[in-house]
Amino acid sequence: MKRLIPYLILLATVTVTPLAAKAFCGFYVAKADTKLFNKASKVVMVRDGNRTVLTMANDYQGEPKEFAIVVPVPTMLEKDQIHVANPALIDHLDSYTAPRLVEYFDENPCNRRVYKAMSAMSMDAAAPAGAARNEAAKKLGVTIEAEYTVGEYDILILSAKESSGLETWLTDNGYKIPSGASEVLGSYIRQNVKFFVAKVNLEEQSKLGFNFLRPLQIAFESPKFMLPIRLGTVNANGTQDLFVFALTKTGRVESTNYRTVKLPEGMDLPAYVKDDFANFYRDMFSTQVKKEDMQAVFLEYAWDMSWCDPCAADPLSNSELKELGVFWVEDPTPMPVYRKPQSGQPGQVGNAWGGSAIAPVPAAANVYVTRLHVRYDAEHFPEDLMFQETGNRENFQARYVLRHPWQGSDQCPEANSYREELKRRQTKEVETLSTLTGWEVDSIERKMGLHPGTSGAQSNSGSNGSSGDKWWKDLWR
Amino acid sequence: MRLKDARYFQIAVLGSLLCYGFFFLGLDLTSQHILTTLTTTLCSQYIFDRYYLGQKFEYKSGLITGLSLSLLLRSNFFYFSALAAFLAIGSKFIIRVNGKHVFNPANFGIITLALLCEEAWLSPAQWGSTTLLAFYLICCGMLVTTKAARIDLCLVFFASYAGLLFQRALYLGDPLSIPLHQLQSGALLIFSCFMITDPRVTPDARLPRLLFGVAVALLAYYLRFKLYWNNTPLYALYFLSPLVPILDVLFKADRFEWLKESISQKNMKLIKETT
Repeated sequence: MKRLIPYLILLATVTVTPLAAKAFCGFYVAKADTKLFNKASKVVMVRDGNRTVLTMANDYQGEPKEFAIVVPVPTMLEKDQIHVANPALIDHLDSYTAPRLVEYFDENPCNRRVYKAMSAMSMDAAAPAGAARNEAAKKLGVTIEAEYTVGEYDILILSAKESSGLETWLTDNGYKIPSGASEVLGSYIRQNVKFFVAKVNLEEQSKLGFNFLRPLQIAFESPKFMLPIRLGTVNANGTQDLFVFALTKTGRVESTNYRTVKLPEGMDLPAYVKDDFANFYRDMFSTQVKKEDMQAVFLEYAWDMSWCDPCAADPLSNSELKELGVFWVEDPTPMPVYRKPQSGQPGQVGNAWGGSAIAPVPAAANVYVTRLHVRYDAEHFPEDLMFQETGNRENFQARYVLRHPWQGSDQCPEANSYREELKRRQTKEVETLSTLTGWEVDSIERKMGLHPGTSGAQSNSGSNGSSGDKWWKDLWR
Repeated sequence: MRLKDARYFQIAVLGSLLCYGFFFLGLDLTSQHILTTLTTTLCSQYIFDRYYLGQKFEYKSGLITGLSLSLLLRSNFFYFSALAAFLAIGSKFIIRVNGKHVFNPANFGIITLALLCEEAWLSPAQWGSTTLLAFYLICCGMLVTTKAARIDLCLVFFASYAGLLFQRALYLGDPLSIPLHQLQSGALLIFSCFMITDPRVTPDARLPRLLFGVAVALLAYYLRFKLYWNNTPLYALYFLSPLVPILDVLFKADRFEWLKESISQKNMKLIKETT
């Protein structure tokens, strides 16, 4: 019987910006006892049928020479199946799909309003790797199946008979194996995976002139649509964050073995959050993780790649998509982009960086992007992440709205009712923000300037602002 | 109060699961999908009952099928929901051998549509483990208290499937939290408590019924861990259901009826008449 392609992959890459350090979903192996800090990683998964292209990026703090990765892969990889990507591609995809804040200014009740939008979440990219070899490998049941130099990486494809042999080989070659890793390695070995081991070739790196490690890409064919995260939890200090950008033809990607939850979105927030959006988003995300007992994968963005509204960044061009491995995109020329006329309708079309929103493009590249964010550890995520592509093309974005109050002092019946409405709105905004982030109501109100004696940016200085509203005065008018 | 018909319990459990998913868990269940599915199943059931077989309207069966479809199936367009519902009920009346339908209606509707088009899919993991645990307990309680006719099949299937998952974990040296986690699937819950236990489509005799449960578990395991499909118990039941009429021929036994009292009464009458 024809043997089916075995297990997938544990992918880890590291892009190195020697400054910041984040995590990767794979298994990190350091040569020295250097404190390496795993916090967040990004993986782009291009998938159609059984064809998969994975691009892995991690922030890594440390010397490139000390970095190496071990990645279980389902099949033997030829040199042509391995590539090194431009980190800017992931940065662009990250910006395009980032949770966003949209800002509106209340008009003079007798006038109009202006709006603009900003994107807030932007992450750094990173990715390193290095590989080791050993002539005595065979004695340990480890076979070096192939050896390549790709870009700044030395890559080995290993197969192993048992975890102890692989563990010894890695240790003998200067890798530090976290305790507990051998059991997970053993599980992968019994599933007949190969191991992709990468290290940085410093000479090649200096020739190429990069002072950071670029994301590694691999292309392979496997029926299994998953991301191995188990090895990545072995050496993890606390929880890790993983961002998965799935690019597919049909529609939204969701996890089949963990609950996929949409983040709360679309609600009005106090205007001061504009200067504190990163904190807001972090705390909001943590609160949602807690609410789901840290057993969920969160949906941050799901959209047809040919447009956006509002745009946190322009959609990726066809050549960028191609570079990311979207193999069904034939035309390398940039996609035509149509700017949507600004409607000026409050609460409808927000507007983006540079004031643009991009409408659907006819005959687009047929690429649907799903951005998933998962915070995981070994206890709550015992199993690797499994995915499926669904036919769901409903758009979703983590989008938050700021409405700046009108600060004018005009007096007219409309202005008075506006001020009353504003009070109700601000109360709701406080509740929303507190529920989403767990922040204290008192502290939010203070920052909004709603407490007597404080002067916040949003304080409603108009009349009827005190608690003694004459609520009945318009009752029978 | 003791209810004679286990289907009332099934409707209550499925209905609660649907309401919980819709109102509290924020699942991607649209009211349009639910309404279309329920309306189409009930209307189809009515039409087939009254005009095809000329019998009483079996709204309970239609409702159970409709609720199962609402819970498991997702689609972009309401007409896919309607098509799945129609296929489900239609299969019950059209695809029959010796007066017994071959496929579980909801299973037939879902898998046929999922095999045919990309616009329909299943979302197996949207319930969360706490919810599922609670509903597992309720379902077990239901099966025991109502003495549902096919609890043996439910138990054999579940034990076999769980056994396969645990042996895999032991073989791989994985922690047992992995198979335990794999058992926490909404689709698996609905499947093991409401689909495979459908007494109208399972083998009548006990021995083949138990073998059938093991076979479904083995095929589901094979599809899941060798071919890497999702929702494999549903596919396994779909592919193996055509074997049931053959098993019924090989192993004769009384046909199940939902209201056993009526059969017992008929038997009593027969006995009296013959004596």
